[in-house]
Amino acid sequence: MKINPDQYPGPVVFLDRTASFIERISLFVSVLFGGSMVVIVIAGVIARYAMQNPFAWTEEASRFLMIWMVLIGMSVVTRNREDLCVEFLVMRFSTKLQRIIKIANEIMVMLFLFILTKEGFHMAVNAKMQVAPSLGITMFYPLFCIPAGGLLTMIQLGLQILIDLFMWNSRVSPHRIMDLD
Amino acid sequence: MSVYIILFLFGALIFGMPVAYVLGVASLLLMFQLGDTSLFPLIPMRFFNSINLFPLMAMPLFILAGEIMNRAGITSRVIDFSTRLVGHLRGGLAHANILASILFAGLTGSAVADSAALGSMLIPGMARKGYDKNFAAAVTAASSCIGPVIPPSIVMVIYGAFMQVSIAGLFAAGIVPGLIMGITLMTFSHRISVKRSYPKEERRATLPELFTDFKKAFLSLMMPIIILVGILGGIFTPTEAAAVAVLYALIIGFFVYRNITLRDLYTMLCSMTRSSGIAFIVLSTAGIFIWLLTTEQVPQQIAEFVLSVTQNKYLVLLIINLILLFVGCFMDSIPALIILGPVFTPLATQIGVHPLHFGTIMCLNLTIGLATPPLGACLFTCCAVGKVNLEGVTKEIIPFIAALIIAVLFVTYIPAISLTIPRLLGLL
Repeated sequence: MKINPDQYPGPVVFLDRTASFIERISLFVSVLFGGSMVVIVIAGVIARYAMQNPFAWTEEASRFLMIWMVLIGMSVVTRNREDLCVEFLVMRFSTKLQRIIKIANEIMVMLFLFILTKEGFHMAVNAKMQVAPSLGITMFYPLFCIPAGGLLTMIQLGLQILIDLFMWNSRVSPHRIMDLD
Repeated sequence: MSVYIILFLFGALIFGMPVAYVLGVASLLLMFQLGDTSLFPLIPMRFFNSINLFPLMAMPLFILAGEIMNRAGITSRVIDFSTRLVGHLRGGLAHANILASILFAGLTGSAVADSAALGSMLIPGMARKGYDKNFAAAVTAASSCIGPVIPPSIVMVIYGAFMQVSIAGLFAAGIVPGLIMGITLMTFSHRISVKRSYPKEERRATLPELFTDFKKAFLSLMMPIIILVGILGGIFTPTEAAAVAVLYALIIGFFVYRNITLRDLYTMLCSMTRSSGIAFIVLSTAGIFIWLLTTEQVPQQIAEFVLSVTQNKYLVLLIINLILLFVGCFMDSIPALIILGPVFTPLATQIGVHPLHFGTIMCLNLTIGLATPPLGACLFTCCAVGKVNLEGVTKEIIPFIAALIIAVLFVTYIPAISLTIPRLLGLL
C-alpha cells in the first residue's frame, strides 16, 4: 500500500529517501560480501574433494566475509524494522504513546550501538599487529566491520529518530512501515 | 545479577524494543549496574566472536539453497508427487499437504519458507476442492513446523554452533521426531476430514502415474539425500554440505529447469543476507549477555533452584517444556533458542538428559511456537498467502497444535526416538 507523500511533513520525505538510498547501497555491499562468501566456500569444497588439494585460506576468508555481510546487513535490517519487534501490545496504545515508547527504545539501542562502535574501533586499531593465522592479513580488516557496521546502523537509527520526531503530531502509527518511493 | 535486569528484559520485549538489540542493551545496563565500565571492551569482542564460527555459515547457505530450489519451481513437483501418493485417502489434499511439508523439510530447513511456498499453492487449491479455507491454512501452518526438525535445519545449525553440540548429531536426531510430527498431524487431520467428509481423489494412483511424478520430482528429492548422506556419512561437514546444496540447486536452476535469471540470484542473495543478518545479530548480542550470565553463574543458580523444588527428571522436563511452549508463543524460535539454550542446558545435563536429546526437544518445542497465536511466523505467512484472517485460522489450528504437543511429549519421554539414529551412526 502506497502512502501519499503529501500526508507527511517535507523533511520526513527527504529523510526517508536518504535512508532508503543508504539502505540500497548497504544492501548491495552486504550482498557482495555474502556472494563472495558463497563462491569461496564452494571453491573450498571443490578444491578439497575434486582436486584433492585443499586451500588453506577458504575457511578463514569465508568466515570474515560472513561477518562483514552480517554487520553491513545490520543497518538494512534495522532500517526496515525487520529485527523482530514484539508489537502486539504497543499497537493498542494511542499513537502519541506509541511514538514516545518507540523513541525511548531507539535511544537505548543508540547508546548500545555507540559503545559497540567506539569500543569496536579501539579493538580493531589495537589488533593491527595481530595476524590472521591462515590469510596472513592483519586482524584490523576483519575486526573493522564492527565500527563500520555499527556506524552505518547508527546513521540509519539516527534518521529514524529524526523521522519520529518530525512526525510528533502525526496521527499515523509509528509502527506502520512507510513507503514513500 | 539482579531482578531488575530480568524485569527490564521482559519489559523491553513487550514494549517493542527489537529483539535483536534487547540483550545488548540489557548487557550494557548490567555492566552499569555492576559499576564496571572496564567491561565495555568485551562488548565488541563477544559480538565478533559469537558469530566468528565456521559451522554457523551453514545457515545462510541452507537459506540460499532453499530459495533457489523454490524459485526453480520444485514446489508444484513436490505437491504433485505427494498428492499422487496419499490423495486417495479421506481429506487427501490435507494429507498431501503434510507429506509435502515432510519432503520440503529436507529442502529448505526453514519453516516460514515452507509455509510461503506450500501455502500459496495448496491453500487456494484446497479451497477449490471444497475444504474450509481456514482449515487449509491451519494444516499448512502446522505442518510447516516439521521443516526445522527434519534436517537440514537452520535452528539446529544455530543450536549446535552456539551450544557446541554436534550439528551432524542433531540432524540425525531430528529425522524420526519429524516423521512422528507428520504422523500425529495426519491422524488428527484424518479425524477432522472424516467428520466433515472432506473430498478424496476418486482412485488410487497407478504405479506408472506414480513413477512419472516421481521422475519429475526426482532431482529435487535428491538434494536432501545428498545432504544427509554427506553429513551423516561423515563425508562433509554441515557447512560443506550446505555449500554443495547451493551448488546443486544452482546447477538445477540454471541448467536443468532453466528458469532462474541472474536478477533472481541477486534477489535471493538479498533475502539470504537479510534473514541471516537478523539471526546473527541476535546471536551476537546474546553472546555478550550470556557471557555475563555465565560469569555471574546464573544458569547454575537457576538449575539449583529448579532442582531444589523437584529432583524428578520427568517433572523437570515437563516444566522446561511448558516454559518453552509459553515463550514460543510470544517469541520467534531462533532468539528464544539462543536465550534459553544456555539457561536450560546445564539443568538438563544435571538430570542426565543427553545433549542431543535435549537439543531436539528444544528445537521441536520452540518450532511449535511458529504456528501458535498470537505471534506465529508460519501462521501469519499462511494467513497472508491464503488471504484468510487470523481469528478463523486460530480456531482451526487448535487440534493441530495439540497434535504437535503430543509429538513433543513422545520425543521428550522416549529418548530412543531421537537417539537411535545417532547411536547407529556412531554420532553419540
